[in-house]
Amino acid sequence: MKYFLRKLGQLVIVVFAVTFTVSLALGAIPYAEERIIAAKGSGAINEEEKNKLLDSLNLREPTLVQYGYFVGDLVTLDWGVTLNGNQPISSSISDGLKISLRLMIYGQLVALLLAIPAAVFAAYRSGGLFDRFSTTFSFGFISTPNYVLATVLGLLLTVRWKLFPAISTDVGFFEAPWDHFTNFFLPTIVLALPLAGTYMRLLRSDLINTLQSDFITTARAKGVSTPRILFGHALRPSLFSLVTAAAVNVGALVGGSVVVETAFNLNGLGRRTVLGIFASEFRLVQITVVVLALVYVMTNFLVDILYGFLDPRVRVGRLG
Amino acid sequence: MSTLQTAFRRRTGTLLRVEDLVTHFVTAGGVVRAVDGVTFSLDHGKRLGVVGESGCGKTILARSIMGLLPHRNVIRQGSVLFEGTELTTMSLKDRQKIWGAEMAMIFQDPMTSLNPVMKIGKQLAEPLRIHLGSSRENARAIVLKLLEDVGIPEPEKRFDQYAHELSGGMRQRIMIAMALACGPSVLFADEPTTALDVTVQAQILDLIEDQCREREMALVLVTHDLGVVAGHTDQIIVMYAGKIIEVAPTASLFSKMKMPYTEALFQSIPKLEDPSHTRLTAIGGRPPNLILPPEGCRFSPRCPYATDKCRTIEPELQAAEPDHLYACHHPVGSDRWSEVQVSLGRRPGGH
Repeated sequence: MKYFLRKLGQLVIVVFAVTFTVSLALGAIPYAEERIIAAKGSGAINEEEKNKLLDSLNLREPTLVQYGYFVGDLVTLDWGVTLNGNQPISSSISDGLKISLRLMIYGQLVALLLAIPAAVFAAYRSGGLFDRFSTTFSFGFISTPNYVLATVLGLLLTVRWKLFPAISTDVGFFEAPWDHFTNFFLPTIVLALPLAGTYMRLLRSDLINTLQSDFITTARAKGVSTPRILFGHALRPSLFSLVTAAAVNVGALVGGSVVVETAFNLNGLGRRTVLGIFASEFRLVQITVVVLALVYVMTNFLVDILYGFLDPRVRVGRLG
Repeated sequence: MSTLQTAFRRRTGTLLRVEDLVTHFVTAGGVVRAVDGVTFSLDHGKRLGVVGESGCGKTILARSIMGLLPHRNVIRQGSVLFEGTELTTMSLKDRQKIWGAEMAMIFQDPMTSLNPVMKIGKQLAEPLRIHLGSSRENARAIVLKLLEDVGIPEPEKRFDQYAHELSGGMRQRIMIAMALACGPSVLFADEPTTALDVTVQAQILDLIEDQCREREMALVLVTHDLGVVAGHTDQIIVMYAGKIIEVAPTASLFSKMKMPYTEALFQSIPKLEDPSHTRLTAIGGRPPNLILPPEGCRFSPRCPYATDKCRTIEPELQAAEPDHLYACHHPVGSDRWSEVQVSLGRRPGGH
């Protein structure tokens, strides 16, 4: 419980730091006001509207007051509208988040489903044929840039063999399960393969270490079968690096799959952020950053809790 | 192993017969001859001590007998007959049915031998669930009884604890309980007290002895400490450089030891009657390199009685008495031995 509260305290501090920095960042942008006006279309609005717009952004208030307004708006979900097109920022972010979360979850699941069995088998027969084979492949996937993977797979599977649509559209799973699958299959694979490579390498080396522990010999000496030793005894204490890496990737995938989102024309959060930066949609970018920070912080919090389940010794703080 | 399980459990006669057992490891530096032709047998309910310095092959011997060693880069030869069944040619699946059920093992370091992320109770119940197919509740009841038998207070509480919440002595008791769970007919104890406090060592040894007697279980006690085997075994094997160099019933080994090596081990134990600050007689040098063992008698480079014969001709095991074998050209009590004792200023014949 104490562990839980301590982690919760850390979470609050991080959220404060992120919102504060993001709020101040606007003041650091050169010609922020002019850019906002330009984004709105300076010729199209008169002086009165201009002042109203700038007032609503509280740009001329003192720093701390700006921060107060920013947090107030965040908490009351009064996020405003985009400069260009007057779409509510909240709906832009939630549309993007929906796609990005899907990509993240599918990518992670596929990566873990590939990596865990492969790592277990490679570690069990380390130095064997499968181990060497999978090592080569995982390094290949890790070092292939994802735009190359996206282009090659896209070319083969959509243009040559026409198995999947070349341009993915965001079709809900419950509306059309099959279309949902075909639309998300390629982006998922492109995200998952490099991840699976990394995960496999991490888990494999941790497992090889664990398999040399005395308690594995104990388990063998009491007649535990090989699969049960691998999955029942060795896997759980070997998951630390994998869980840590997977957690970092949760945030990275939600906000950072710009290339994949662009390659398959999915309007995810990452792509919206990048386009927002180019279009001087500062408010959209600010709020997106806060949302992403929350995703990071929440996953890290959950992972810290998960460490406690993986290894009971963490709970008493012996390992950190 | 249905033959083993259904067979009438003989509680007398030969339990284990090890014949010319060889375990060599193929390494980058050469072939390590860890166990190099070991032959002995063990009767039901008997307690056997295996003594020797670190690195002389005791642990590998115990693991070779069970078949617990990895497959790759290991050369094995010889035979292990366990209740008449050959173990060396048995498949892994079949050996897994014997491990924990018919033969069990406890290890040197109880701090690392228990799974750190699995509750004690679950680890203890595992052999019962695997080998006897016990239900969860049934296994729990047996485990609680086992914990009580090995002297663990508050078994109910311990059942749901993790290894890091227990002391070293307690953990070794847990290991013993785990080994006893399915009622094996032989227990291999590999340096079971080496990692423990001196005060706890005696308790653990007594516990092992009590349990062996109560369950009519044979014991193979591997240790570097002659003091440990002295009080807790019926027969002792002294190993050096992968070979047996002396075998004798415990009492006659201590009273009529033949091997200079055994003598040297014995002299390196502090004795109560020695005046304080007496220097211990250590054995000079180190155990030999098992990749290139010395020619002739493997102990000859460190032996005060060694002659040219020792350095060229390897002595065979010979019988001093029917149950006392040794492998030496100049055993304790021989002319050469007396000569050297005199030149060292010792009184021959007295230890």
